[in-house]
Amino acid sequence: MNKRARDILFSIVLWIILVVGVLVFLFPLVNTILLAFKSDVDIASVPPKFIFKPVLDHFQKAFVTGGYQFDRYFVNSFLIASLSTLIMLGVSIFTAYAVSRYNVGGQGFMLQIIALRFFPPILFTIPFYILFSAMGLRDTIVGIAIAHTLINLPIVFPILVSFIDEIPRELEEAAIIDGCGTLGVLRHVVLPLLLPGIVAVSFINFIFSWNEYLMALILSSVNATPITVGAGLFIRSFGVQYGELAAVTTAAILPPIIIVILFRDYIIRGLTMGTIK
Amino acid sequence: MMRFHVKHLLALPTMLFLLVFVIFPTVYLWYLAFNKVTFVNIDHPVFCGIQNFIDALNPTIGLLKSLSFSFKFAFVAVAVQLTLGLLLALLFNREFKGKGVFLTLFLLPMLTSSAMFGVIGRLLFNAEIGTATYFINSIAKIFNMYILPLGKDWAFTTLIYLDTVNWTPFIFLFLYTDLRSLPKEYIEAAQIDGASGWAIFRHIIFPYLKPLLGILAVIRFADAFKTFDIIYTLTGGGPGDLTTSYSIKVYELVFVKGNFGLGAAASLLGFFILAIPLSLVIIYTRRRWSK
Repeated sequence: MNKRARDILFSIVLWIILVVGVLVFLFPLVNTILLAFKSDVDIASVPPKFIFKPVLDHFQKAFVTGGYQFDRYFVNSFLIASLSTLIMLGVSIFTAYAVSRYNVGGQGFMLQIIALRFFPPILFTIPFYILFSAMGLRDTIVGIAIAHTLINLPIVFPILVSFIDEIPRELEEAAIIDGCGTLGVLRHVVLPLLLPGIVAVSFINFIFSWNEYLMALILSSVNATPITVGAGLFIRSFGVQYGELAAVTTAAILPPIIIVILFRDYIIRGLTMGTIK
Repeated sequence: MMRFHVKHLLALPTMLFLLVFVIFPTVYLWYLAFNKVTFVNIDHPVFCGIQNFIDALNPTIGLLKSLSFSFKFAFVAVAVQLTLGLLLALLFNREFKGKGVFLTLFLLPMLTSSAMFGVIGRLLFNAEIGTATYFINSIAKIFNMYILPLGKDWAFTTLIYLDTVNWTPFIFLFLYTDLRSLPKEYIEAAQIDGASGWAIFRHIIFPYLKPLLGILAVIRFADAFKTFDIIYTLTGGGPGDLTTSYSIKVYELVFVKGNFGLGAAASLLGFFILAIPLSLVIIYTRRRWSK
């Protein structure tokens, strides 16, 4: 009885701590989403209102009628993140396989890729700005997607290698005995088994590319601006319009949140298996 | 011999990518650092030796001040976030109702854009309609204070709070998954022997997590040191230059003032000032742990 009472008390305390924790950690996000749905009058009300009649005015103004082009920025973000994911897979799958199975480049190669993480992105913005201008890649979806691939490579590459490490080698050996070449083994044995890994890595890369800011800020001017950069510029360019700013920010943070809610376990598994070892 | 060719062919895509987008730009960055290059003569750099590096160290440029800010910011951020992340991981290291939902909720900030966290902070902490500003000041009124969360006295604290919300989930996630692979028998055996919760933490859990805590501290320190996004969208480096980090300073030199040469030299100096102590720490801890 005593132990039971203690257990109940314990779980009540635990719940209180967790609810307070969630409040502290999620209130900034919740506040933004609430603002996006408040009318201008409710936004200005003192004290702040938590119960109000939700309106879609700010979304409509930011994305449709206001002439701000945030609809286009949203599409740009989607294109950049998708393209960057494709480039990432193309650049890293085969090499990750070579590192996992043949230990290409030894430990040094892997370490060099991981070490890239310690290079501040600001270092790369300077040459990229000039070189991408010269190559015609500045202010293009492709250019920003490539820059994002570089930023995400040190995170995604080790994850891919760990996923390949987990595929039993015996299957490949059996396929080789059956007369498959290396490319045949890759296509018929490794890639199908790697599919969960590819899905996890794609989500992770998509989210990180969607969230990236500095590279896109430097490399975009008119055509390829993603929504994060657009939202950041909003404050400077259009003065104080809190409702529209909140609506744009809500649209910018929602896609990653939806992906996390739907595919949490994929993402957790991917993130925790590669980065740190 | 055949295998030799195939494996190198397979490694080619990443190698080529690194050559074009890492090695070549890095060489070009060094080249810029030794030349006078501005927006005006971007096509005709003029060699100037180590002048840019000397200029970058001049206190009037503000690079040194920004570096000391970045160190301070990184130290505080790592200390706060490691502590909170560890507490959360310990809290989650048991089964309870609603665990899955709480887990998702605590992970959300980590996968929210840092740049957007800056904007979110502006919406929350501005002086006009900021919800948090209102509640903070309803309490501060009791003490006859008026607090501007983005003003010069509080901007640093506000920044640390937002960065902590953004990145504690990262620390928490890794510690939590690592704890789950700690064999339960160890803890059960200790409990049977009558060990207190604190003793179990000190003698079993903490030593088990220590290597990972070290790695997380190093990674988070480096990430916090190079922070750009959240500061740029929250304060823009201000008020004045109070929150100007290393990355913000380099950005200003290059993309606001248009001085590519000076900015390149400054970015390299900052990188080495971060990299040298960091690699010493890594080498030292590796040696100690491998003994």
